[in-house]
Amino acid sequence: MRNVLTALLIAALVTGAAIPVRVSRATDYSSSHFIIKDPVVEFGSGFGTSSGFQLWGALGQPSIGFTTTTAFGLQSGFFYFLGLPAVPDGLGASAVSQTQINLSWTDRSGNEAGFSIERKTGSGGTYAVIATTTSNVAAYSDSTLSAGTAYYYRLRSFNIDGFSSYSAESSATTQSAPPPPGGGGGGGGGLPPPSGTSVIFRGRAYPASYVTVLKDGQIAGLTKAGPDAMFEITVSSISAGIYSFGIWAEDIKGYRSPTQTFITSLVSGATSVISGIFLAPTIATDKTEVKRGNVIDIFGYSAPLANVSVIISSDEELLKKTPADTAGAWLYKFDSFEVSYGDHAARSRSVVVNDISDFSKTVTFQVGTRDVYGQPPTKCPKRADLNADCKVNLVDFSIAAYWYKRALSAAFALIEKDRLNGDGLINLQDFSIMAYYWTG
Amino acid sequence: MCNRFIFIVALAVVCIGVVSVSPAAAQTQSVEFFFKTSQAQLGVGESLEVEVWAKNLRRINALGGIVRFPTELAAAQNVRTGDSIVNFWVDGPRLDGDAVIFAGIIPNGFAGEEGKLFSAVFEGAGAGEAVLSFENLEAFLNDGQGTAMPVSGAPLTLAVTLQPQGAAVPVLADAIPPQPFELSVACAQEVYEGKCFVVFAAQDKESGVDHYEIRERRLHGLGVLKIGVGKWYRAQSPQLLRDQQLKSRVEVRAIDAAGNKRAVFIEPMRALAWYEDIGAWLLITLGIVLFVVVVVSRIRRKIVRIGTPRSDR
Repeated sequence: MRNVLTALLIAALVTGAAIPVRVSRATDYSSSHFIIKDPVVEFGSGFGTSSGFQLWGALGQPSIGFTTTTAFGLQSGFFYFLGLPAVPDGLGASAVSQTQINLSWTDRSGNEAGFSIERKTGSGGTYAVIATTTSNVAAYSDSTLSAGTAYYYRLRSFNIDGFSSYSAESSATTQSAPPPPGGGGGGGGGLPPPSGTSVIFRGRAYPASYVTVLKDGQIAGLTKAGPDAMFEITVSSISAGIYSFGIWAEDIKGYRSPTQTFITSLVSGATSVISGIFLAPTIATDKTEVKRGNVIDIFGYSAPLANVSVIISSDEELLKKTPADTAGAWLYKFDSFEVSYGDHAARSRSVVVNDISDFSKTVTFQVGTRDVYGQPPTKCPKRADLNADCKVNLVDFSIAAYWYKRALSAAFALIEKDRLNGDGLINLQDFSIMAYYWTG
Repeated sequence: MCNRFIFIVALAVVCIGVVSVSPAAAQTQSVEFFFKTSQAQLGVGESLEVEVWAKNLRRINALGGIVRFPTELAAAQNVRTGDSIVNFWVDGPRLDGDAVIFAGIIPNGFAGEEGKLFSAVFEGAGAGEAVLSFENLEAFLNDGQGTAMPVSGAPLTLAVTLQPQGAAVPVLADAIPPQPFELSVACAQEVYEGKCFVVFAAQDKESGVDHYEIRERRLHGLGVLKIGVGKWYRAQSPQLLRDQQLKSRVEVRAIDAAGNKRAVFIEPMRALAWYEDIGAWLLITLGIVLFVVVVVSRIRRKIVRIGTPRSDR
């Protein structure tokens, strides 16, 4: 038996060696017109010639970022598909303070370009991307959270070929009690701020929307509006003084309202109430360009059964009205024949009984000779998000502050051109643009 | 003829008046910077606090400029930002020779009409009329385009005399530390060539934040018994982290102008490997020592037994 096996093995080796596979070396194929500089495996079909060349290989970008708009990299040769990266596992979430949860996971892939981390608030929330990391990263710190709140996380790896499946979900609840002096995290040490000083915000957003409160530009609270779009949120344990508060909401599709701001002077030990807040409706269009005579959908969310006015800016302003449904969704089908060719803008505001909201953000569209269905407006800020984390906050501010009155690097100059005023400098005008898109 | 002339003049006056108060004119209302102070005189050697304000600020989200002063007559000693309407300072307010430089933002725009930006304490240096003036003023609209607004600045004249004028700066009765704030650790290619850094910004409604300090410590030990050493040093956001492996607890404290401190910290992003933890080595050492003690004691007992005559065992 053993002899038979040995014989078979020898036979296989000899047979394999006899297959006419020849790996050619550089410059084996040449002509007066081209030279193949990379190895090509050919299976006994002869040498390639210049009069009829055959492509045995292919050119490809072996990894994301190998070729960029400022640096062209070419790597040809043995062509291979990366394949989807492996799913990361072992995702763990650990709350370390009232506002911070640390994530860790096991990187199971060797070909990922990075990881995409998603979060939802509460088990019934909706996942949204909160961060994207580079490759070979196995930890992330989520540090702008609300106290006493359960957060759920999942992540997936990605590369040029696509995304892996999602990891298993993991959750943690941020600490709710103020930490004792010297312990806990985020706010430990020193005297606690005077108790009893607080401010309550009440108003109307969109059904089941997440409402964020900013205090002096930083997130101070987060709550979810009810099915009737009503919300109430309290910011407490703060000292007396003059504060700038901002409130914005995100509807169930992920579109954000403009931030409504308030200047409030808080008295020590007293609770101030700011009520009657009515956030402007969200607004978007289904096309970036519409063929004149066709219909363009203008839509968004507001309070249930609100009367929504849509103002279209043209040579003259056109005022249209449409009601929101019981879920707060509204839609107006605008006949583009009513306006001339060219660029136009639309904004909206809502009325519920005697309450009138502020104006929404302005969306632009073009009336031309064809319909162009644009990508849905990104949920991320259009500009000023310098680190591409879908927020405009202190991190972006600090990045810009680093470059303030410095010569920009080539890489950052591209970012400045794309996301700020594009004049090749970081100046106060760039910070003004950032302040407009501020999300906290 | 005379009546017609009067009619034409009256018509012209009415037209000019209408244009002056027209909505178009109101929309280009300039942002006005001005000074506020309790008195306009001070003696040589006396100190006086001068506040810098601005008005027509509705929907303004960024502003900046320079306050110039004659140092030989009145010299600025320090700057205070307590109760400023500016949430984040891009630059300053800081003293630079004969100037105070300032630039800052109010995210999402200011909701009021006027507000205080900062104050500076001036000391009388020489007799004369010290004129405080504004230069290079800027203000931008919260419209997403960074639209520059027209600006103007009203100067202030301080009469500095050899005789005392009773000017004094109230002692800062501030016993409240800066408000709790958060730290964010980020690693971005755009800053410090991809190295990790920490960002922070505290608010102090009384005397204003004066400066920040940072300390990074690797904590060694077991469970809640962890210790680490590290020194505090001055910091500015964004602050490059010394421990790029992110295994240290990062602590930042904000100190206000009255010296009150508020410290916050963020736990390490990554845990120490067992061989990096001194606590683990102490435990191993303890284990080895105990093992050696037990073994030695057993050997000694055996030796004693061997040496003891059978009849005595």
